Amino acid sequence: MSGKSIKFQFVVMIFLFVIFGAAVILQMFYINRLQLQQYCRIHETHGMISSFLKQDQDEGRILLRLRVIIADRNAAAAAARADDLASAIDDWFKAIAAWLDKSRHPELSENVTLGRNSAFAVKYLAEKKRQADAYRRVLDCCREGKFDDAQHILNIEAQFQPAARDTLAVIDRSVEDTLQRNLQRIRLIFLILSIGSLSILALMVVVGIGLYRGMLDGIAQMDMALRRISGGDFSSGVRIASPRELALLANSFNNMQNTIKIRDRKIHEDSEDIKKINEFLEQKVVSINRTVEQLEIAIRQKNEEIDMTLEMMAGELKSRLTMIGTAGEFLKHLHDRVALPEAVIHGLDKVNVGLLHLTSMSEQVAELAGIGRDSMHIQHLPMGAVLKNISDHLHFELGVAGAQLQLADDIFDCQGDGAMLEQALIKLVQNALRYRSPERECMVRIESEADILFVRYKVIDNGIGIAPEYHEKIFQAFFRINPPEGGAADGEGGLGLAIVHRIVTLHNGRVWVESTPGEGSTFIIELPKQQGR
Amino acid sequence: MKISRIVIVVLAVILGLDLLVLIGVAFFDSAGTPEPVRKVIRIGIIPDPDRPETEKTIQAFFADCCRAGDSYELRPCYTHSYEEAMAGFTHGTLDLLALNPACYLQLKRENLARILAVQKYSEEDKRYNHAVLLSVKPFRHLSATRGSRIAFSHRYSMNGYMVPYRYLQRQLPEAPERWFSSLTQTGTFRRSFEQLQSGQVDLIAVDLGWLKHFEPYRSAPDKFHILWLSPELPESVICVGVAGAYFGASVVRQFVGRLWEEAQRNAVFNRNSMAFEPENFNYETALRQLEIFLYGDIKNTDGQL
Repeated sequence: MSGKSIKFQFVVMIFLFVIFGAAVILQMFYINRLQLQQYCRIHETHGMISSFLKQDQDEGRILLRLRVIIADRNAAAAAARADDLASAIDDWFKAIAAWLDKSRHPELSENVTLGRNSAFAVKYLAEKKRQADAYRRVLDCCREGKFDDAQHILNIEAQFQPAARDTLAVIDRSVEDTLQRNLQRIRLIFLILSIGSLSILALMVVVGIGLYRGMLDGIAQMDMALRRISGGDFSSGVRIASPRELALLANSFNNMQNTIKIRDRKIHEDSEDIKKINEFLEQKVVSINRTVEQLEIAIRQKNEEIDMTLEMMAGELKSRLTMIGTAGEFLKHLHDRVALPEAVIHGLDKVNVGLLHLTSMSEQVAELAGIGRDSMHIQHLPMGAVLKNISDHLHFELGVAGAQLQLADDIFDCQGDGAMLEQALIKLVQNALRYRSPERECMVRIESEADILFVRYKVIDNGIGIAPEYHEKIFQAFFRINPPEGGAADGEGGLGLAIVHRIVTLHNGRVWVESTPGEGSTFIIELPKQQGR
Repeated sequence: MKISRIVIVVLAVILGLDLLVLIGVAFFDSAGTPEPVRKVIRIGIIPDPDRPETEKTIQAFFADCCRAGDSYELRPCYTHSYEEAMAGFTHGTLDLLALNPACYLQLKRENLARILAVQKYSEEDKRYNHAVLLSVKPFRHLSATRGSRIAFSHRYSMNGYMVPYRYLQRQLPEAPERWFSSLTQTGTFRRSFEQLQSGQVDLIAVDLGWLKHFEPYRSAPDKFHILWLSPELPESVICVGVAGAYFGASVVRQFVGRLWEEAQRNAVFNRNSMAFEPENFNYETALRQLEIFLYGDIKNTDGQL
């Protein structure tokens, strides 16, 4: 916790970066300033040289006028022109003094070395003053008629007149010196700032590496600790001294590790209990499953026994009824030879009707009991062909009922036992014919629809309809609703829809009815697209 | 712990760099040490066509003086003639002038100059520092030269004109211009000698020291006759304007003082051909005698000299 924080180290980094940036900007600023000064120097030097050339030209004019006066050798004429020339000499000298004063100006002294500290300026002014005095002496000699002396003075002064190029060379040298000095200054400043910048950069790198290593080491320790904890090793904690944030994180991590360690121990103890409970429950489930299986087997065996019993009873009943019917027929044939009372004849007719009914019922019961007892043949069913068979099979019944059977064009195929499903659909159509409405022509339509999992076949009729309270009861055995007047005779004994329900259930499907009394009914068989074995 | 130390070091380095930058900027913003102003002193040097080494010697001497006195800058001015040098010195165009003592006396009489240093001759040169009247014809006496032709070098030459002419003025019963049939100025000793050899003139005035080293004379000295030999003459001088010239009397005074100091050093005087020394009593005496010779008791004058 004694280490510096990442925030502090970032502040140091930013501070160094700012210093670095400031050094670079200062460097650029200073070099730019010096460049501007160089331009100023060149500009001022140009002005100086121009004004110097003008003074040199003025001096040449003065010398020319003096030589003309000397050449004339006329004292009177010389005296007449002397004043004008003397004032010209004064003006010329004042111009030189002003020029040097300008060059001595403090603002320009740095730019032009002819300034305050320049030996050239002092010497130049002294020499020009001496030359001006010499020109005045020449004028005096001319006034006095000493033209030879005047000529001699001019000859001597001519040797001391610095050529313009010499002065320009001095100015050029001074400017060059200044430029060289500034160049050295730029180099030194550049060197200092570069060293400073590089030093700061190096420090930034050092601090950055320190920061990076501090963070990376801390993170690596945390990573190792996490791996250790994930491996279940809670033996040691994480020790990070710097940076402060990671040290705090390590402290929190160690606390978390301790907490996890305690909870892990508790979870371990709990898991042992749960494990025992699970083993107990598993044994229980296995026992229960075994019991259920035994019960299922017993139920199935019992059902099979019931079905076989029912079938046997139905067969026995049917054979007995056949014998009774044969006896009735014998009595009726006996009536042809022996007159029997009308009441007996009438009773025999009723017995025949009852026998037919019982025979039909026994057949239905046998059929119901036999469904599913044999193994089912699940296969792909082209339902278009199946429905065509149904239409052909019911052709006579449809004609008797004066009904029409319409098959939709796009009938979806399905998987199942073809005989069973055909039987179920026939039962539904027969049911529709049986409960047709006497008020209108009977119309039965079969259509299908499908989704991802199921195929649904709809048998739609315009019969009398079914009240909602019977929608579920009608699929129970022996439940029946009286057919309307004019409906078909009941030959099913209330087992038709129960057979349909049994067949659909064996196909893992379901059947239900949607109906509005007086308008018609729609029976829907829903089968899975893929049949399991 | 370590980071705090590093931060302190970083801050110290940054502050040090800033200080360096400030020092650098402050130091290099100044214009540097001012260049010392050296006063310009002009010295007039009269060319001597017969002794061209004179110029070099004088130049070397003043170069030594200026090196010692680093406040001064000497600028030699080689004049075309004695007239030009005298006019320049008189009007202050020249600050110093190296010339013969006769010309110096002329300036001194107008109170325009005073001696700064005296040219130091070797003993042999001193013995031969005379003016002579040389002829081919064997004149027995000066009176025999009447109607002859005489040649001088130029009017400011001490041995070639001023002293011989003054002698003739003193000795002849009438002005030399009338005594001699022709009186010419050749400009140099060599030209005078050549004219004597060619017979254009009968008599010339030359310097004995020059004549001694002049090869045509040395090869056949018997062909020539010395009519007159002057007394020993003083050495040449370097003089300075009394008024201190136009660029500042104080500057000249300082330079003169410096020149005196330098002139007293033996190292400066160890020159065979030309050397200078301070003016002493003997020289003043010799100069006084020359002044008396030149300007005292003049009889036959035409207004010259």
